[in-house]
Formats: sequence, structure tokens, C-alpha cells
Amino acid sequence: MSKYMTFESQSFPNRELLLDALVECGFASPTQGTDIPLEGWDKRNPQTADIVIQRRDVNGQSLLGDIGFQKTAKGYVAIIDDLDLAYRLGKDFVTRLQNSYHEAAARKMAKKLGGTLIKERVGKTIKIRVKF
Amino acid sequence: MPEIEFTIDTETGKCETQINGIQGPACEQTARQLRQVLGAPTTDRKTAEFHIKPQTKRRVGSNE
Repeated sequence: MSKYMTFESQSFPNRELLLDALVECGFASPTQGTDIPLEGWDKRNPQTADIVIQRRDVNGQSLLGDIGFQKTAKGYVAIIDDLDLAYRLGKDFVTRLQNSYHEAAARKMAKKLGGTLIKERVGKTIKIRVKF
Repeated sequence: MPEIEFTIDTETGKCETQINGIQGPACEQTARQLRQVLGAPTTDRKTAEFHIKPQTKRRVGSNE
């Protein structure tokens, strides 16, 4: 081994990979732009985002508000109504999105390096080897 | 054969990566590509293998 790194941040640095992860989590058609107002949020606390999943596009969940991702210096950060997280999406929603993001990152690295990818799941751990 | 190993803890969302089989600073280029997609790491450690310098051997000619 020549280098070891860990990534724990709940921000998503790469837009393309975030969109891949959202598709994998079942959100295929987010709206993209700059400072798009989020619907369903209290007017006293208006929110904007650069990637938006509109609540009307989410079938079977009856979300209270749009889900947004706002670009920051560290990457895209999720803006999600607390009640939607607690009762509809699940409190682990961002963690599930992170997992999908990390898998998308492994696929991207395999493609970039012209390598092959081997995925293995052991309990609650996913191991992916990119050989190049 | 060089490889990158991703270990994803699905309960916490934490991702560990190890770059294996690339000795010396050549590994830094792969690490840079990883940072581009995963962002700034919480831990970033060079291992002993990183510091190994490729060895060169002098060929000694035979007297035959």
C-alpha cells in the first residue's frame, strides 16, 4: 500500500457523480440551475439550491418540500426538510446517497484509469477494487 | 498490478481508499484524481511503500 485516505464529509464535490447517485436512489430528473427557489419551505425561511428534486416529481412520498443541493466551497450540500427526513425519506437518506456517490466515484475512477472493477459486499461493508 | 481499494461503510457513509502497488510519488497523481471526485479527505496518510525509491542495479560485465 502506498497511500491511505478516508472521506467522511456529507458534501458532494462532483455534480456529475451526485446526479448519478440521485438516479441510483430513484431520483432521475432533478432540475439544474443556480439559486432555484425551493417550494414547500416556510416563507420566513426561504431556501434556494442549484440542483432541485421537485416534490411533485417524487411519487408516493408526499414530501413537504423540494429537496435541494446547494453548491458550496466544499461541494454540494443537501437541503432537506427535517420532517421529510424523519417520516418520508428516512433519516439515513444522506448516508444512502453518500454510499451511491462513493460507488459512482469508483466507477468513474475505473473508467478514467481504463481499469476493471470488482465489487463485493460483506455484511454492511461494500468493497470495490479498481485494478488498472 | 496497481489498484485502488474502496471500502464503504454503508451505515455511516464513510469511505476509505487505499492505493496499492504504486511506489513513490507516482502514486500522488492517482491520489489527486481521487480527491477531485471525493473531495478533501479526513485522513491522508502516505505509507512506507510510498517512500520506497526504485532501485537501480549496475550491471557488471564478465571477463570472458
